[in-house]
Amino acid sequence: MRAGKPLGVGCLGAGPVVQTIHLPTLAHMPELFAPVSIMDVNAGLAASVAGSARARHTTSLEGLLADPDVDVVAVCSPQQFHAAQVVAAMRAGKKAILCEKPFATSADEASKIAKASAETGVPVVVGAMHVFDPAWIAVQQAWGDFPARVRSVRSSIVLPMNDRFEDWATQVVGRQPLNFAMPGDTTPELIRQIFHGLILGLAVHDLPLVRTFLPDHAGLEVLSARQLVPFGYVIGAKAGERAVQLVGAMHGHGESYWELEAIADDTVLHIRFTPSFVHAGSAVATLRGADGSARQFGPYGYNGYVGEWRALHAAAQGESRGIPGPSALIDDLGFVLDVTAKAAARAIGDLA
Amino acid sequence: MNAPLTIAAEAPGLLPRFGRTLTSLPVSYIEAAPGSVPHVMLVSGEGEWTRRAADAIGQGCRAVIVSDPGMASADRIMALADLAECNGAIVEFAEPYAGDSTLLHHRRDIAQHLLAVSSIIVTQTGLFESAASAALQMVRTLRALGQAPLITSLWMTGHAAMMCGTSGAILIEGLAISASAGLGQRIEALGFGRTLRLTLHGDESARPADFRIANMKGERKLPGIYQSADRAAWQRVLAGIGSDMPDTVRLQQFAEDAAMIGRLC
Repeated sequence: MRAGKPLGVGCLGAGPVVQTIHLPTLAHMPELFAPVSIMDVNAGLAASVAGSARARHTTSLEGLLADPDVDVVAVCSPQQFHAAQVVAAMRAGKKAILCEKPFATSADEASKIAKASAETGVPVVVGAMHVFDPAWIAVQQAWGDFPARVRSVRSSIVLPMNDRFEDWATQVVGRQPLNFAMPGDTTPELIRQIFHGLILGLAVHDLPLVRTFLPDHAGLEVLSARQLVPFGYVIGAKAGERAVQLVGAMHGHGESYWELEAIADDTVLHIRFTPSFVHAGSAVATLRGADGSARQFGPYGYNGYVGEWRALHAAAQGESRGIPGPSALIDDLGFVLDVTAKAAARAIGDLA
Repeated sequence: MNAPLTIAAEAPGLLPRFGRTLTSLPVSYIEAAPGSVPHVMLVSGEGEWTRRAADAIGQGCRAVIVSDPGMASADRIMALADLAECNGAIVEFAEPYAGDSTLLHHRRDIAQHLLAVSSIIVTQTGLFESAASAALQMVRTLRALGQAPLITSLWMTGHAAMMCGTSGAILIEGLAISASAGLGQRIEALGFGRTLRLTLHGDESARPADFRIANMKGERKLPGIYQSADRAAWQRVLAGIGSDMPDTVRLQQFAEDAAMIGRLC
């Protein structure tokens, strides 16, 4: 690669995430990245998406990985394929991997990724965009010992259905219709599947941030876990002496708010994120004191999507200081899976 | 009643609030002369407020305003209700959140919208004595919004109280954090077709509650009422004494709420 040449990007998957998030984000940074190959098992979809991105298309994972113009790989396939594809891209000698969240579905898969990363030296960035939001990064640098003093943390994600924002981001092709039909019988296995979908589909975005405020997260105790109709959850929990509330709901109108709040005795951190699929500006973080003082961070000119791709670019150049390492990613995933399992168990227990 | 009512505060700690509210209603109320029995007694909601309220009625007060009422025995609350009814006296509450003027002004409108939600989440920040007292404040607000909450679980962590239950088909979830920053109570009511967000700042009249309702058509903000919960309570007493029909429903509801929470502690 010549100095200054944009890195070639290969996307595994051509669904709405690639169309509405990653390709529009890459369009914001042509000096750093150029889409060169799109892979999807749906050949027509791959061709359509690649055509508008002026990239090649393929239905073959091996074909994309063998493409010498592909420097970095974005893994945006269904989550059950993430781990194997990340490892394959590392073994193929790519410079860095961006993997959509969750980057694995089990601790075993996560360990295999960490092992492959250690052996190949290829870094992986997980697309948890809020981790890379400049407002989140700025407030961390300013909050001093605030995390040690937090008494409660609360994540509240209330959004319209995805298509509302997707359609403002781009003209989506090949979208699958939403299906909220519920089977007649509520069985423990169905509850597990529901909470798996809720936590890994929605709550997962902010759980790495929530974990920041929970030094005793390994001892998380879920006190209540309930599903909201048609798609949502309310979870009450505690970790050590700290209270946790996770709320997520998707609805049929236009209101959207995405907030994270951590409260210490004399300070409140409030972060308001932009909705998913929005490509303008960062979150706004505010540290408010009991004395009425307030320090605000943001909005900055770019968001976490750009932030994660910038981090990927730096990692591909050998600069990995700005990204969570494998052990942090494994811990994040472990927390996500722990919340999922304990919430499902609580809901099943309440059902009984 | 045309002549001003005389009013007194039973606890020195109430005097600042007493003075502020008295100044805002100079035609309707006048401070009682020392040693006289006032028409209205302002009673602190701390400790055994039911006993002190009953004492005031026993001494001849026509009304009692309980300021920030805390947990109390349901039996004693009902005994107070009986005493008030027998004496034709009024017992009114001045509650920081449930008594919010903006909430009470729009309660019917809000209650209609709440028919279309599937969950209500209450979050409260402020110092509290116990999980029970925090839960009571959250339940009282739900009551004021026309809900009949059935709280089934109540937990306490180091500095927070959490509760969950239902109100009919609506899921109820509450989290109260003991802290001195970010004071207030927030209510999120979530439904597929609408979302309500209510922010209650407490009894400061200069910061009225913020109520927003979002649905398919857009977002509507309900106008704020710049009146403290204390002043609203005093106004209700005026109206109640004028009607000569003492109403003990609020006391009965308070007794039910306190009993429900008491069973969980």
